[in-house]
Amino acid sequence: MEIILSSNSQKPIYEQITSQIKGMIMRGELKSGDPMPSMRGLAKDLHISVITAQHAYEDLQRDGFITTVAGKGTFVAARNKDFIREEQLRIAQEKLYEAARIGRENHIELDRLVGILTMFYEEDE
Amino acid sequence: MKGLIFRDLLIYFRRMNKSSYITEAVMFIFFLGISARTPAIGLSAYILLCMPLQMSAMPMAMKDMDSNYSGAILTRLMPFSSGEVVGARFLAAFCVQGIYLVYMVPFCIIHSFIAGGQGVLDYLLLILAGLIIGAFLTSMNLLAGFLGNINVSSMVYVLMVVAVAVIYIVSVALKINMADLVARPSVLWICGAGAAGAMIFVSYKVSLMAYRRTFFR
Amino acid sequence: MMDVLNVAHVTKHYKDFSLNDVSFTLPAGMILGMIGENGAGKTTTIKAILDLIAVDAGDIQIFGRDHHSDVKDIRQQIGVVMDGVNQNPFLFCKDVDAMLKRIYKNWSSEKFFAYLDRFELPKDKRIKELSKGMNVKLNFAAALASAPRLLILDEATSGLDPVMRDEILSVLQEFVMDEQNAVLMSTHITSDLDKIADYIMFIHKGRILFVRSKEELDNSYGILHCKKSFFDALDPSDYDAYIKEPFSYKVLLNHKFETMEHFRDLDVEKASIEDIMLFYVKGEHV
Repeated sequence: MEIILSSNSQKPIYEQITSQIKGMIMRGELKSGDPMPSMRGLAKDLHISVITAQHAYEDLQRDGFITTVAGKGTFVAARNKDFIREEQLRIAQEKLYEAARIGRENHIELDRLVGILTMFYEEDE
Repeated sequence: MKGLIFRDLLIYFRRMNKSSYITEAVMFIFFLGISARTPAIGLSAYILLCMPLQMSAMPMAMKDMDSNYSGAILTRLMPFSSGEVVGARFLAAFCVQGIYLVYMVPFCIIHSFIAGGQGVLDYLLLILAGLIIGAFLTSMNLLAGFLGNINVSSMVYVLMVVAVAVIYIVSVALKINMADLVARPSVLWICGAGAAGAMIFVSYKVSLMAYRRTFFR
Repeated sequence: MMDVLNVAHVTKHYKDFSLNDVSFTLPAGMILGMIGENGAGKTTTIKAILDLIAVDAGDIQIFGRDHHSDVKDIRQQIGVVMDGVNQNPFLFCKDVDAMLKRIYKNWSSEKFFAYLDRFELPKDKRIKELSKGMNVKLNFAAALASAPRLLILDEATSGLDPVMRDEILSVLQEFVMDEQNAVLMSTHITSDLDKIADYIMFIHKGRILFVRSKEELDNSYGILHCKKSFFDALDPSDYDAYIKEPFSYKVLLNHKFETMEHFRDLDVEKASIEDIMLFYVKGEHV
C-alpha cells in the first residue's frame, strides 16, 4: 500500500488518506479482508499525528470501506456494491460541481454544459 | 533507600583515582615511619587525627557532586522521600568510615611489629576512639553539606568555644573537679560517645529540615 | 482510557514572574508539545508537575493520583530527560544500570543495554568522556529502561544533530504506541513537534494561549501572502494575525479550507508550528 501526502494540498491530510485508500479499494489493489496497518502504525509511518490517522480511519469506517474486529485489527471491508457506488457517485458529483461553478461564473449556458456532458458520456459507446 | 546508599558509594568510589590512593599510601608509610621513632605519637596521630579527617571527607565530595554535576536534581527526581534521601547520605557516609578499617587495622598490625608494647585491646580501643572522632567530624560535614553555605571551620570554632564554655559552667555549677574526671577513662569514653551521638542526631534533624526547606523554592 | 496527566488551574507566583491558571490534559497514548518563548513558563510548569516546586494554587493529577502526596510511587513511573542534567561524570555507562536497577522497580537491564547498542554508546567509557549528544542519548536510555508511563522532556533534544534527533523522535513514537504511555515535551525545536506531536500547547507570559490538537491546527491554519488590496477584502474573522512585510502582507488564515473554497486559486502555504508561534507573538492581532 502506498500513500503519498502533500502538505500544500487543498485537501486536509486525513482526506488525502481516505481518498487514496478508497481509490485503492475500488480499483481492487486492496481486496476485502486485507489487513490494514494499525492506526498508530500508520501515523508513525506517515509521520502524522495519531489523531489525524484516527480521523481518516473513522471516516473510512463510517463510509463502509474498512472494519475493525475487536482484538484482531482493522481490515478492508467486504466489497459492498452500494458503498462503492456511493463513493463513485460522490467523486462524480465533485467534478460536476466544478464544471457547474465554472459555467456559472463564466456565464456559459447550462444547456451547453449538458450537451458537452452527454457527448462525453456517449463517446465510448 | 538501599539503592540511594549504593549510588552514593558507587559515585564516591568511582571518583577516586590513583592520586587519592597514593595519598593514603604516603600517609600510611609516613606515620609508620614516625612510629618507628616515637611509637605512641605515630599511632595516635594516625588513628586519632589523620584517619578521622580522611574518613569524614565523603560528604563534602558528595556535596560537590550535588551542586556541580546535577546530582541534586537527579536525586529529587528519584522515588524517595526527603527522609530517605538524607538518611541514605548519612548511612553511606558512615559506611565509608567503616571501610577505613581497611587502613586502620593493617596499620595497627604493622605497628605492633615495629613497636610492640600495646596489647590487642589497646589497639582496638584506639580504633574505636578514632571511629568516634570520625563519626563526629562526618556528622559535621554532613550538616555542612546540607546547609550549603556554612563555613565548616567557623562551625568548628563556634562548637569548640561553646563546648569549653559549657564544660566550665557545668564543672563550676556542679563543683566537679575536671582534672579528676579527665583521668578517669570511662568518663571520657562516655562523653566522647555521647558527644558523637548527640552530633549525629542534631546533624540529621537539622539536615532533614534544611533539605525539606530547599524544596519550596 | 485514563488521562495520564491532568493539570487544573495551576498558579505559581515568583517575584518577577507568575504562572497563571494553567490547565491542560494529557491523554494516554498522546504526545503533547509545549512551546513558548524563553521565560514563558514552560520549565516552571514542568517543575510544578514533577513536584520540584510547590504551587500556590491548583491541582495536578498524575495517573489519576495527587502529584504531591503520592509522589514516591508516581516517580517510579515517570521518566525525565532535561537539558543539562546528566548522570554523574565519574560513573561508567554500565554503572548507570547497576545503580538504577536498585532504585526503579520496573527497571530492565536488557532494555537499557539494548538502547545502549541501538544508540551506539560504549558501556565501558566514563560518562565524562561522552559527547553532549551521547550524554543525551544515555539519558533517554536511562529514562526509558525504567519502563515509565509518562515521559517528561525539557529541551531534551537540544544539542542533538538532526540525525540523532530523528532517531529519538522515532523512539518517542514507539513509546506511545501501546496507548498506555504519554509524552510531555517542551522544546524550541518546533520542527520536532511538527513531526510527532499530537497536541500543541502554547505558553506565553505565564498563561496558556491555546491547547489544540495538531490535526486541528493543520486543518485550520494556513499562510497567505497577498497584496494590501486583497488583505483589505478579507474579513477579520478569516485570520488570527497578520504581519505587514515590506513588499506584501503575510496573513495567518484560521479557516483556510473555507477561505480557499471561497476565493479559489489561492496559494496558501502550510503553517508550521514555528510560523504559528511567530504570528502570535510578533504579528498584529485582529
